[in-house]
Amino acid sequence: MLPRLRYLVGRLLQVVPVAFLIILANFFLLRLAPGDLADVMAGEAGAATPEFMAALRQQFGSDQPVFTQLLNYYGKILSFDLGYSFRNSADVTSLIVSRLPATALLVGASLVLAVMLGVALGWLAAVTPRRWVAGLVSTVTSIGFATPLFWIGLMLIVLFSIELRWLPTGGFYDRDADYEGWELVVDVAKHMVMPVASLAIFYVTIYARLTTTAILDVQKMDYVRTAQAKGLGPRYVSIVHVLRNALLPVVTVSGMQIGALISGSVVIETVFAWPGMGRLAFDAVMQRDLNLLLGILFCTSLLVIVANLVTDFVYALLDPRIELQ
Amino acid sequence: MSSFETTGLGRFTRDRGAVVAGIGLSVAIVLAICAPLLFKTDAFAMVGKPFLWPGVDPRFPLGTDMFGRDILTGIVYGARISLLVGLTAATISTAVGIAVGVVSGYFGGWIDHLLMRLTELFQTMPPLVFVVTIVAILQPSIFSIVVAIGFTSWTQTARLIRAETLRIRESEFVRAAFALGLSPVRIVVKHVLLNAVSPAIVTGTILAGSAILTEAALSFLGLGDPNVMSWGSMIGAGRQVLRTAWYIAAIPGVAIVLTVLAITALGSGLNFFLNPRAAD
Repeated sequence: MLPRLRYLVGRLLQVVPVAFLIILANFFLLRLAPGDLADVMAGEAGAATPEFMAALRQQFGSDQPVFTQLLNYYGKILSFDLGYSFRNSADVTSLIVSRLPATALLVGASLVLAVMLGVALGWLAAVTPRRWVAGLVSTVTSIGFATPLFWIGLMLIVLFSIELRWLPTGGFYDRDADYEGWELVVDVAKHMVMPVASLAIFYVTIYARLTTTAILDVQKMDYVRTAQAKGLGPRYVSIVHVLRNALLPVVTVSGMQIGALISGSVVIETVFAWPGMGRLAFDAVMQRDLNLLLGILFCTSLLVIVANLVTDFVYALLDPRIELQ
Repeated sequence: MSSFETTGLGRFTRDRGAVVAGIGLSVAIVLAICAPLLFKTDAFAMVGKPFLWPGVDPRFPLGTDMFGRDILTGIVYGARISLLVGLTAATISTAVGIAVGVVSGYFGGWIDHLLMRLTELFQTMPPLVFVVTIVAILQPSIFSIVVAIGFTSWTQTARLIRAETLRIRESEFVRAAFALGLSPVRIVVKHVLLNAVSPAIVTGTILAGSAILTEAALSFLGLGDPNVMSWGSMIGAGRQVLRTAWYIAAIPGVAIVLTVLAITALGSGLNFFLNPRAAD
């Protein structure tokens, strides 16, 4: 257990410089914005009271040198004080935290769907003896790669909500109906179908391609030939020896794609009025609440770091060749 | 196999998809450049009855939107923006990626360490959230959009070029050249650039495609340049009337899909053209 703990601590320490750089980047973005730090921190100029602005200037030391301001900024962020959003009459940290579950649900469900569907399609394309099947998978993934997520979402709404009337156009649950318990779960699931599907489509294409390439690579390995030579059945070899090892790059890329998935959730949440962080970011843009936007950028970056850490651990658990060090 | 088929151009023309994509893109580029000559009015002008479905009035083959603006004119003018953003943003990120990669791989040590941490930083921040924040801060314009996309999507190119630089720096001929008293910097830079041209161009086409998608997302979110017609903002406007006139949002989306498809197909064709080993 000790080496694992040491690995965990070492990996966590690697994260620290990146987290510091993210805060530094946020600070520079703040300075790029028109007006001084207090103007930006208070949201759109004029939204805050003069007393609050004066207090903010005092707190940040707008008259102080840049370096002192930076230190103050670090101090604030490290105590999870991301400022106050006057447009939403709430402080930024609690606003973001309240939107976190909806985004996590959307992104998590999409990731699971994308990995499952992508691996299945990629596996099909790699092992099928029929060339047209592989060609079809390749064509579908190319189109999926070139299609804007938000447009897929809108077209799904046209088909399934407006024409067929099967699914609700947006939202998290039906506000008019007083569903409880199991009924509420079914209702939320209904609202999830289209956002999850449209967010997953793009990533399905990535995983499908990756799985195909990985399987074709692994099939050439000596240990696969050994397994075949000792008389194991083709299905057993293809699942236990090939697919399992081909999944390793899929795990790595899943971790790397979390940032992209969160990015995708901004447009998807906007299309489907899904009450998560993406929708909050869109509202922040509309209200010119730059501080809220920076807070979201910071928190989503932290999420990506955590996701990468989790991926590393999963990878280490899956691959016996990797030693935790 | 004839000698033509083994030449770069021969390999390229064997990839029929890439040839079609190349021709299609060339037509799109010519149309985009000539837009002001082809259409007497600009894309914002109200020219006909609103809500004309495609094919109803031969004067407006793709129909009109809710303000009676010609959708075809909008698509052609939108192509200017998409292609311009795709090309310039991809050029910027490729240039930044090459510069970071070469410096990082050649010097190594703390410079490499610092630049790699920077690369990690840019890979950690969710790309669209990052771009949205930059554009919102700099105010939406073609310039801020290109800058935001270009300076946030260079990381893959940088890693690619860094690996290539490391490989060449350690190679025999660079050591030999160094022993002969030649400048290793010039040799490394020259060989890295020569070897990296084809992967950088292929990565560049992928970057151009994703830059077009990002620009569309930005204008859809209302962060597009307000002074120009773009496909993303057309979809955003069409969204308001999705219930009655979904074609207004659908048509620009098809334009985006076709353009990005063509660019990626061209990229894989270029891969065959530039890299003889990729053919088999």
